[in-house]
Amino acid sequence: MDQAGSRSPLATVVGATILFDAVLARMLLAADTQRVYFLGKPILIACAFRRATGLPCPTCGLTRSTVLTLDGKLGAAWHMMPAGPVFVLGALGLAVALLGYAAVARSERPASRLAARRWIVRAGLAYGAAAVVTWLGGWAVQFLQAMHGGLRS
Amino acid sequence: MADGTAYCPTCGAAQPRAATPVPLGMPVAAAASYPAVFAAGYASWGNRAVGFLIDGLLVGAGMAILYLLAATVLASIAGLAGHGAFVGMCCMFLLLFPAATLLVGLYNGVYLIAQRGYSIGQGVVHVKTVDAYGNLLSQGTAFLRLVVRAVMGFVPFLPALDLLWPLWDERGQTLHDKAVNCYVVNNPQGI
Repeated sequence: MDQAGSRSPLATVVGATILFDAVLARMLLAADTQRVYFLGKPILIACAFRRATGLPCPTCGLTRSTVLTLDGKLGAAWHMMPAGPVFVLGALGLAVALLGYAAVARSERPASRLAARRWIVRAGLAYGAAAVVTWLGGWAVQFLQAMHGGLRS
Repeated sequence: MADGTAYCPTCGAAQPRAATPVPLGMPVAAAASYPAVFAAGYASWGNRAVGFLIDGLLVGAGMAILYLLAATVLASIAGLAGHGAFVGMCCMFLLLFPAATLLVGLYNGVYLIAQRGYSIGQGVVHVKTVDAYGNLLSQGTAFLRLVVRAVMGFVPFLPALDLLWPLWDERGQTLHDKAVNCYVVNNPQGI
């Protein structure tokens, strides 16, 4: 975290870059439950772990889920992999929080700056823990389903 | 200031010319005697970029080793050696890049920087990483700097922006330097 938003642009740059990436991904990528498409063309990359073992790796479906979330299809994204919506909403929340922090830091009120920083760190830690649990929990469910023959593509 | 002399913005006293690149936020007491390490000036972007590329090659070598290990294990599991088992390891790259960055970085970016002030790449181009007081970074600060850099690697375009930032930053800092308030300065003697 930077010393002061007016002097150090770290929070602004990171927040703005995350939002820019989200907008760019929304414009360039599309997805269904089978594939991700870049400018309408399918990306034909298969997971080597899945090919080798028939089981999903921890990131199988994450790209599709992320792109579906950015496309507003939250239900499909959650069904594909719960970590996708959680990551996207977390990244967008982080971006908004960083831009808000940068605005507060410009006010040159140390108390507000410290309070905002403390709030972001605590919320970030809580979110991080929840995101990891969601990610690994979702993967564990898919893994067990695949082991019992219920593998989704 | 027509003769090029710098003056302290707080007390108005003339400052030694060699001490111009003083970090912002330094206490007045410390500013009265600028750390000698800043006298050589901030590292140029070119030097930093060359050092970054050398350190990046080390991370690439780490990735290659991890990739071969992972691919060998997968090929062995499926008995697919020679049948395209190495194709499409996108998730592996997603995991291998941060893993290699952290593994190589723990030695190159944390241990070496905390012990002597420069990574292998920085040593080649004679630059050094110091805190606002001219001291070497602590292990914890160097580790935090590495973590910030690795996390930035997940955000598209941010690593490029981070590398280019010293081009227009008055103190020649990258974004991950700003995160821990450190500076990269010239180190002509290589000490």
